[in-house]
Amino acid sequence: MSARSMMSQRPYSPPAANDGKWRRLLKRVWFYRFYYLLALPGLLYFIIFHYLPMIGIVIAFKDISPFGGVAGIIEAPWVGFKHFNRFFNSIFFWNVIENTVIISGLKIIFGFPAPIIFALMLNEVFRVKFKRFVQTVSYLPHFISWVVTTGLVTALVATSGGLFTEWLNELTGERWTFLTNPDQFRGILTLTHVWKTIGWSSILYLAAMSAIDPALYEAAAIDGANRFQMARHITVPSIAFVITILFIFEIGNLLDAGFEQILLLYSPAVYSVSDIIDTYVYREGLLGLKYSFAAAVGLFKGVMAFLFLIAANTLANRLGQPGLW
Amino acid sequence: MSRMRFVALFVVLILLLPSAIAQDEPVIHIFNNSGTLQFDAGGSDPDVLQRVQDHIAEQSGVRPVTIVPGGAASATEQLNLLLGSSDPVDLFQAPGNGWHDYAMAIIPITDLLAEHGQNIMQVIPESQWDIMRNADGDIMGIPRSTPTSPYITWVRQDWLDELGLDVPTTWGELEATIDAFRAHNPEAMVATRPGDVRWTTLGGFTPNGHSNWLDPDDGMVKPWVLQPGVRDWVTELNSWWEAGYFFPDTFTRFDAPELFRTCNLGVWMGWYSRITLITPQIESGCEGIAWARTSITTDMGYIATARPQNASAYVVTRKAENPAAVIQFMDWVYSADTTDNQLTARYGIKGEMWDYLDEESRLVGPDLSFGYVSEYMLPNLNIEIRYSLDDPSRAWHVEYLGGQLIDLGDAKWPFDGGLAYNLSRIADEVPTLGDLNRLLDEQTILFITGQRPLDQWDDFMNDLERAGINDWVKAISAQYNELGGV
Repeated sequence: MSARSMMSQRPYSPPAANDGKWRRLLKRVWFYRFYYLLALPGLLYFIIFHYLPMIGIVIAFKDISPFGGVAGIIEAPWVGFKHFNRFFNSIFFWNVIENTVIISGLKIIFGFPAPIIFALMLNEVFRVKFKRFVQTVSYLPHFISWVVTTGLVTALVATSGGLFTEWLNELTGERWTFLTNPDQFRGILTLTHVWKTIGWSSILYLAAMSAIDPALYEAAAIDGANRFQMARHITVPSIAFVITILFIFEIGNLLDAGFEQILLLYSPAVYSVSDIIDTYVYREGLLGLKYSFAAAVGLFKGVMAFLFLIAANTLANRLGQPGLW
Repeated sequence: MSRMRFVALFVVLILLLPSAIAQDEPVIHIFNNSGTLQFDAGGSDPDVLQRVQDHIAEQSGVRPVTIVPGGAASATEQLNLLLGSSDPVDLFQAPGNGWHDYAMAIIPITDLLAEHGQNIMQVIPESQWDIMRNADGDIMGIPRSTPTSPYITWVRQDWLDELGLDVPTTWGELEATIDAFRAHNPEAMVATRPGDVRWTTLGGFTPNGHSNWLDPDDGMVKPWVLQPGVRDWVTELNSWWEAGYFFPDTFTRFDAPELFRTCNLGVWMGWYSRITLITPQIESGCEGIAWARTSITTDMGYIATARPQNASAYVVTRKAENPAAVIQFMDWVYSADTTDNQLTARYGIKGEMWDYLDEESRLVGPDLSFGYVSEYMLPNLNIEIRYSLDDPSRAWHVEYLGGQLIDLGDAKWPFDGGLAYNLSRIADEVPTLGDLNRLLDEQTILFITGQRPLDQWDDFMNDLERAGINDWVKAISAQYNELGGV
């Protein structure tokens, strides 16, 4: 017997006015117990894997030994904001922040609209087989690991022997150095990101488009609208809520500029334009065994991302779009 | 037999099985990040590995289980996570600043060595133990490194022969040789690596090479970059870059075997094993390829800097349930009387996977077809030089280990080489050490490749000051004085 049918036999009656506050709450919880039961696994997941680990934040304010285990964390001395100050006073603090924001920004500017445009274009394709073929091909890069992807990128744009580089050298008579030239390195990161994510990210938009009432298109066609006008005045407004929500998520991830991709492609020659918060933390924290410092920088990054998320959500609400809350 | 009885019997057998296959030998877990497995992260054929393990357990009385790092680049990361976890790991090679970085995770082994490590103590010379001792005089690990001269400039002998040239002995001759190579083959290149170029060339432009140095003006010990002559070195290498001598990807990531396979590499300035190990692999594709090891000088002396012993060591973890078994196993591998054990760890079961072709000269013939990739090999130059190899792919390499690699005669010896600095303490005292290292790695490459104009050298020096290089100078100088100098 389903929860709905069980409850439908006995409609919810508001608790008596003389019931205490907690008693009323308990009655309500008991009445909806099956719904709460359904939500329980999800709640437990978030509590165990997302909230309890937050206790680990304390190590950002302590000097812990990486090998001391839980006892080591408890016994380690409190050092206040020492690790935060060290990060803020680093000669590379602004460079690392700037790189993170610029690389993320480039990925948003070029990588966020790309799947929308791609989905709009696919939506206009009527040959189902061709459409499915293009979709499948565009999804493939998503399943290729960054290790393999960076291998492909290197094979294409390595200064010596890169297929694309050699072709460009021949064409222009100049020597191109994509992976060692600070002026070109971020372009490679952005292009690779777009190539890898365009297909997979378009799925949500395509799903939202499939839910649009065909009658709207039929009415527009009767009114003489062309395909472009229909896309502009029907398709885009209809998927605007998905665009807004995904954009808010993107802003929340602004400080995640692509650790794995950069770590596998960068070198000292391009540190100045590619060393992001995550690569900095990786070198200093994980390899240098400074876990407290890594936790402090991670916490700083988390707080900043949270502020970005709130700002983006507020902006969306003010522009009349549905936000996350 | 009824079905119930059959099930009961099956359950009893399952319960008894673990005790039936229980192994008497103590089991130790080795995280083999010694570099042996960097190209064989997939590990050996499991059946072969089991047989080798059984054989070693029978011979040594200890059953070693090896944890193979997933890749050379992430081995340290894996190790750090492993040490912080509850998973077993008894023995590993302390990377980075050596055992100092892992002092909280390891145990002193002085007493264990006295009781179970006679072979180890005999095989490794007395002089190599000092750097392993902590402030209390306890030995914290078994030395991994020895003083060597691994960063040498090599030139193509076959091209020299073809052009009727001698092996260059001066910087000027080297440049003339490169010009001749490029005239002979327009694709001819010079290659190095960002981390190698200082070791191979800085000695030709500075008094001490790639080394700390004592500034007579203030009596402080300073890092290499503050030496007189470093700017000249950068300027000279920049002129090489501008002249197109260097392989264009030499200061970024590149696949060394692929570079060697082009057959266009005329000069290699870097780690020796790229020559001794890769050359035999590509010989068939680069007909007649041969290399000459050079001893190049300028008026400042040898261009190469020798590499002193560092604090890298095989260490026993605090987690080790049976530390004595760990030392017992190492002592078996490092046997002073025979090379059999180290060769078993390296090549597998004697008489089947390898054997002596000439026992007196210890010429070894391995059979690599078994697919055993040396999970139990824990290299140390002191034992690696005790045999020669009848294996075309590694014979030159093994021969080189015992000869030219330990010949320190044609490289500058670092000013404070062999001094037992506690680099981990320096990292604590200089919180911006990571920033300084990034500055050094990054900016020297930018100057060499012309991406930063040389007239900004003074700005770079100011950046180093802002990043705290003076704290570094104070920390090194303090330890230098504590250690009694040289």
